Parts: sequence; C-alpha cells; structure tokens
Amino acid sequence: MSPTACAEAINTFVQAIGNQGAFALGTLLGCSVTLLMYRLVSKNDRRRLEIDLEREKELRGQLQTKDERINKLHDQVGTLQQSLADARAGKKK
Amino acid sequence: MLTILFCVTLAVAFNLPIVLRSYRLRRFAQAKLDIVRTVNEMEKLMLNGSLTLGGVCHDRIYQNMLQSQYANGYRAPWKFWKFFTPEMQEMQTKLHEEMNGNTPLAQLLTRYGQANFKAFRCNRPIASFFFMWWVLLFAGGLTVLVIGVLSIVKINEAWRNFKQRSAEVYVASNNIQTA
Repeated sequence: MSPTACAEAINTFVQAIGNQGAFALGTLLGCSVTLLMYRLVSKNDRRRLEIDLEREKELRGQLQTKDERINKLHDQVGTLQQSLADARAGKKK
Repeated sequence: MLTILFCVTLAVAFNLPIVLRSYRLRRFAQAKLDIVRTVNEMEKLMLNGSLTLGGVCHDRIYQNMLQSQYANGYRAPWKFWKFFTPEMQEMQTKLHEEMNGNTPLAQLLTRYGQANFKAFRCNRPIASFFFMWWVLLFAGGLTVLVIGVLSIVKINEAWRNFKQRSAEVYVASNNIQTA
C-alpha cells in the first residue's frame, strides 16, 4: 500500500468518526504514549537501582582492600620497629 | 486529524522530559559505578606495591579520584588556563612518565578520565555542552570553531576526538584544582 493511499485511508476514517471520534481516538493514543513512556521510565529506574546496588558492592570491596592495605602497613611498621629494636640492642652490646 | 496529532504531541511533550531525565540519571549512576571500579583497581595496584608513596599517582591522582567518587555534583573548570603553571606542568610530566612504564595504570587512568567526564556530562548536560565549545574555542580559535560547525565530513571521528580532548582537559583541570 502506497503512502498516499495510506494517508487517504486515514483521512477518510477521521472524517467518518467526526470531531468527537477524533478527540476520543487522540485521547486513547495519548494515553498509550503516556503508558509507553511510563514503562520506559520504570525500566530506567529499575536499571538505576541495580547499578546503585552494584556500586555499593564495589564500595564494600574497596573497604576490604583498604583494610588489607592497613594490615600490610601495620606488618611493615612492626617489622621496622623490630629491626630498629634489634639494631639498638646490637649497638648496646 | 489535527486533534489526534495535538493529543499525541501533548502526551509526548509532557512525558519526554521525564523519560530523558530518568535516562540521564541512569547514565549518571553508570558513570559513578565506573569511577568506583577504577578507584578499586587503583587500590589493588597500591596493595600489590605498583604505586608507592611519593609518586604522583599515589599522592595526587588517587586523592582526586576519591573526591570524585564521593562527589554528588560536578563542576566545569571554565578558567582552566589559570591552572597551567610550571609546577603543574612538571606534575603532568611526572604523571606521563609513570604512565609510560605501566600500561595497566595508563588504561586505568584513561577509563577514569572518561568516566569522570561522563559523570560531569550527565550531571550538568547544558553546562557540559557549552564547556566543550569553550574548550574548542581555546583549542583552535574562531577559525576552527567555524570549520567545526560547517564540517559534515568525518563529524563522528571529530566528535570522538573532541570528547576525548575535553575529558583530558577536565580531568587535568580537576587534578590541578585540588592539588
């Protein structure tokens, strides 16, 4: 079906239903568009919540890495203190 | 026919800003997640000893990354030329030296820069649009600006390079600002 024929068919249909019919159809189409957009927004919001949860998980993992770094630094400081104490004890002897 | 079109246009006009806003917030959340992932990788590099105290990445870049991670809003450094002092140039040189010897670090910082700029674009879309033209104006002058506007050939590649350049300027200015 050619575009011109489609346009003519739509025009004929709109003339048949009249002004009130056109308003009713327009309202129906407007509501459908609103529903479609509502679904899009819901999908985006759900995806955003998933991303936020993933971000929280990553932040918790980051805290664990920070703890490991702190423990490693503690061990290094302990080793340095021990070697310093040994060196001082060696000097006194 | 006009009535139908008017009703549909009204529905679209009313709902489109809401859809675009939700899409922008989703992309913003994704950008913030990417920033957190890059900070995690940076932490792991510091844990295994690849980055040490005294280096530019450890002392300066990591602090900026943490600030960016916890930020709720992002600003545009409009007067970015004020921050290009000799000290900052030296810092940039040291940073490039560290990146040259460490490919994972270079990739990580590139990803961080892109995620940071994406977060800025999603947080302030209008400001980011004008900021990119601002950078183009200073990068090449009015001639380049006019050529950029009139050019339609290879516009995709030019746009990609332009975004990359704006991201580099934005990250560099942020690093300089907080240093």
